[in-house]
Parts: sequence; structure tokens; C-alpha cells
Amino acid sequence: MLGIIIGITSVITIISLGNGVKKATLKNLQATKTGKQTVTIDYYVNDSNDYQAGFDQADHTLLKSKNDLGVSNVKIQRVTKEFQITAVIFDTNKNLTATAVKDRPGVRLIAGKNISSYDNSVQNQRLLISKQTALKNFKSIKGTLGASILINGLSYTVVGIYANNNESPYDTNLILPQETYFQGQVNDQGNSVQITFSKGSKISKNTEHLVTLLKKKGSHRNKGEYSFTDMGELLSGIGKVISALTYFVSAIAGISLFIAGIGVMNMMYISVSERTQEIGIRLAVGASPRDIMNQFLLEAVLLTTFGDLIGFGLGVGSAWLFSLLLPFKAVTTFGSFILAFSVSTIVGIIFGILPAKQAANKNLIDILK
Amino acid sequence: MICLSNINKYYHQGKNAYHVLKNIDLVVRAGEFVAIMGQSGSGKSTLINIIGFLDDHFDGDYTFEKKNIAQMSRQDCAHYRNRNVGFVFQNFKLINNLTVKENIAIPLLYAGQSFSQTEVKIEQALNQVGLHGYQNQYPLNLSGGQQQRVSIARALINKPKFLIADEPTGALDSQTSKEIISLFTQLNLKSSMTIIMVTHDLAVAQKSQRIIRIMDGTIASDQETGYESRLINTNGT
Repeated sequence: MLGIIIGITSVITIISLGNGVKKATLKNLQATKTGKQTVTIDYYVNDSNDYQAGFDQADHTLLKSKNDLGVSNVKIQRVTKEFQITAVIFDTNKNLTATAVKDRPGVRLIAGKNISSYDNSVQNQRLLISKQTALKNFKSIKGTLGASILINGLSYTVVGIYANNNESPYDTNLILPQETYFQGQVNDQGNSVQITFSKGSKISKNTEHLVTLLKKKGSHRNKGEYSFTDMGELLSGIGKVISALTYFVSAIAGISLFIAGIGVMNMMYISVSERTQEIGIRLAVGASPRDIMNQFLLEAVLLTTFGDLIGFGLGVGSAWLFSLLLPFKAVTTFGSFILAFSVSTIVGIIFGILPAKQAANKNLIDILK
Repeated sequence: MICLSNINKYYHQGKNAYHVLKNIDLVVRAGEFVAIMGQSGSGKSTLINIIGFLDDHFDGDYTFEKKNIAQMSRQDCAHYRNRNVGFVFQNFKLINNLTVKENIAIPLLYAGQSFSQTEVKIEQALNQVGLHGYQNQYPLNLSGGQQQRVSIARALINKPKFLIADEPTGALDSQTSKEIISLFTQLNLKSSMTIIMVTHDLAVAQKSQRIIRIMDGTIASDQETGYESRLINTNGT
């Protein structure tokens, strides 16, 4: 029985710690420190040459109003740095494309100098212009350097000209410092929106409702698609992987249970041998061989399930002790109790059946002689 | 009630076969008290094993209340033993780690009764054998005679059709033996219990109605002892 106790203790400890890891991991992945959960809805434009922010203040207000869906905060983010802008060159409005950068862009300059992270930090109104755009709008390369371009009411000075080809990641007309470009228009535009749900909301379902709402009422709904990564599905996937790993390690620990089962079998054989007289008496007063088999099988199962109960208690205790030393709490579920109970019962049946059969098949005449 | 016809029994040991019972024909009527005598190895125990449904490997016909026993499965045999026969053994054959009450309850439990149903019956059986109040004792705390009484109570508990007693006084002193045999005669006279008893002791055998002597696997003699003289003997002791 000691073997059963040790086996069940190990299995329960591992499963409880595994459940603890799973719970802690999922909690960390899906919730902020206050227990709130966030999800991101992205906007993808239909025409890749057409740059649309996707979300603006109207969407912000729309989403924020959905308290009934558990929305507690909405934050518009800019993930894509390419935009369609209206630039004023020589008092003429031009529809151009621009890339907002944080650091020095890796472009090949053909004239002037590059912009840098310093330009970002001090919000310098400087930009780079592509060779083709320069030639089209300013006639000559030299005439372009130092020229002014008005974007969103800010006057930018052209400090460099770059060659854009298809291989370059910057195949827009302009490259400008992100911080300069976005100054004064915080939160009002972006192609991604981060929604924080209040604690306990059904995020997958509610996000689906929000996406449906955006498809009906979103400001840029006609020019692109809204989509979100279903964190619920992702998390359940991660949960499944952790569970699988836990059960795999438990199965290894469970091998000790089978070794313990052999001990049970040995013990039952001794019991059958020592109680031969009793078997004879029971058969003589009317027990059928099946009755005798059931009796010994039941005794084997009782032995293993009793070991299971003690092992379960010890397992819960040791998991709790381990969790004191670990950064997460052990979680023992009713499911693990059922699992341990079933395994010990099965071990009892498997290893009890042969001794029980031996008991049932004893020759009554020989015993009574 | 019991009808054995041309019963033969062989024991096989290696290549040797021993012919233990040879062409046994025997009829035991309901209410009879039969003593079976014979030397060791004569086949008495083999005979009562067959009569008591303990041994179903034999040649010939055994009909019990018009039912052919030879054609029964082990399971049916167990059922028949439980319902129709009570065994009393020489060395009592009680389970020592069970109380008197639990020992007596075993046949009832195998007959499908619950523990609560057995209480009254056990008390009645214990009263019948003169062991009132011994329910919770363990067999090893009782004398040989008391243990044999418990064993008789266990044999009677299912109200069997007949009792088989295999040298019931073999392990008892003469006084206790008398008491036990007296109990058997009372059972036979008052309750019309059919009793088949194996004994080596002629004095014990003479308390029965009929003495069958077995010799080398055959019935050497089958004699009535005289019912009236048995009555006188019983009343005289």
C-alpha cells in the first residue's frame, strides 16, 4: 500500500503544480495586474496603396460607450507607420504617402543628410523626400534640399533625398520623425485599437460584438476590414499544451503506481494463501466461485483506494509545501481527485484479478481434507 | 430425498487412478438420521462430499429431490449447497477473525440476505444450540463444544433440507460429544431434520436410526439401529 500512497502522492503533487502553472500562465497572459483583460482589434485596408488610419475619435467614442459589453478603456494605437497625408508644396495640396520613423531609417541617401532619433526626441520638423517625389515637385535635387513642406499645419524642412526602389521598405514619398508627425493628435488616429475589459468579462464573445459593431458603424468600414486575435482560443491552446505536459509528467509518475500494483498483487497472493481455510469454509456454506473472486477483488480495490485517499491527502499537502517555494499557487481540482481515484481503482482491479481468480479456483475438497 | 445410483469415483494421481467409490447405491429418506462408519480411506468422506454437493466429479446418477446433480454447473452446485445442506465439520471450520454472529450470518449473506435481515434468525439459531448471548464472542474465546454448537447454528441458519456432519465429535471430549449428539437427535426428532453423520465411534453411531458401513469404497452393510431403542437411549442420557 505504501507504493500506492507514494505513487498517488507524486501524481497529485505534479498535477496540482501543473494546474497552478497553467492558471498562473493564463492569468498573466490574459489580464493586467488588476485582473482586467485586454484585446486588440486591427484594421486592414483593402487597397494596399491606400493608407487609412482605420480608427479615429469617432470609433474611440463608439467603443468607449459599450459599457454593457464590459469595455472599460479604449486606446487607439499606431502599428503601421505609413500614412496618406496631404502636403502643401508651393501652396499646392498634394496627396502623398509618408512613413513615420522613430530612429534613423535605413535608406540610401543621394543628397543631404538623414534624420535621426534625436529629431524624434526634440520633435524637429525635418523630413526626407524620395528622389522621384523631389524631381516631380521641385524640378531639381539641389532645389529640393532646404525646401519647406507643410503637413498638418507644421512646416517641415527637407534635409535629405533618398532613392526609393521596390526593395526598399520605405517606398513612400516622405519619411518623417514619428514624434513630430503625431504631436498634438494623440489618440485620435491609428490602425489598431486596444480595448480593456473590466474583470470577469467574456472577452472573446464581447470582442466579436465590438467587431460586428465596427463593421456597421466604424468610420473607415468601407475601405478595410476589422479583425482581432481571439485570445480565448489562443489561451485555451496554451492551456491545453500545459495540461498535456502535466499529464505527460504525471504519466511518468504514474508508472510508480504500476510498480506498486505488483506489490498489491503479491500481497493479495499471500492473503489468498493464508486464507485458504476461510475460502474453503465460504465455498462449503454456499459461496460460488464468483462470490469468492468478487470478495478478493473488492479487497484489492479497497486496499488501493484507501492508499489513494492517503496519497491524495499527502499529495495536496506536498503540492502546497512546494508552492510555498514557487512563484505560483498549486491548484488541486476535483478532476484530479477523480483521476487518482480511477487510476487506483483500475490498478486494484488489474493487479487483484489474478489472485482473486486463484482464490476462486481453489479445490474445495483439497481445502476441507 | 437423496438417491445415489451406481456411483463411482476415481482419484487420479499421476498415472495412477484410484477407484475410491465402487457402484454405490444409496437412498436416504427425508427425516432419517444416518450414520456412516468405516476405516480411514474407506471412502466415507468422498461419499458425503458427493452427497453434500461439494464434489461434482463422479460417475453415476445422483438425484436430489428428483433433480439430477451430475448435470449442474459449479455455480448451481454452490447455490444448492447454500439452500439445501448444512455442514458440521470435525474441527468446526469457523472463521476466527469473525464473531459468532458474523460466522453464522455467512450462509444467509450468500443467500442474498442483508445483515439487518439476519439478526433475528441468528438469535433463534443460537437459542436452538444453547448459545444465547454469545453473538459477539470470537470463536477462539469459546470451548470446543461451544465452537461446534456455533458451527451447528451456522449449518441450521438457512433451514437446510439435510445436515452433513463429518465426525462432529472427533475433536471433543466424551461429555461434550454426548451433548452434541443429543443436540443432533433433538434436531432429528423435533424438527425432522435429515442428518447424515460420519463417525468412527460406534456409541455415537448407535444414536442414529441407521448405520451404513463403508469398506474399500463399497457399502458393506446398511442396518437399522431401531428407532425405539434410540429413543430410550436418548431419554436415558
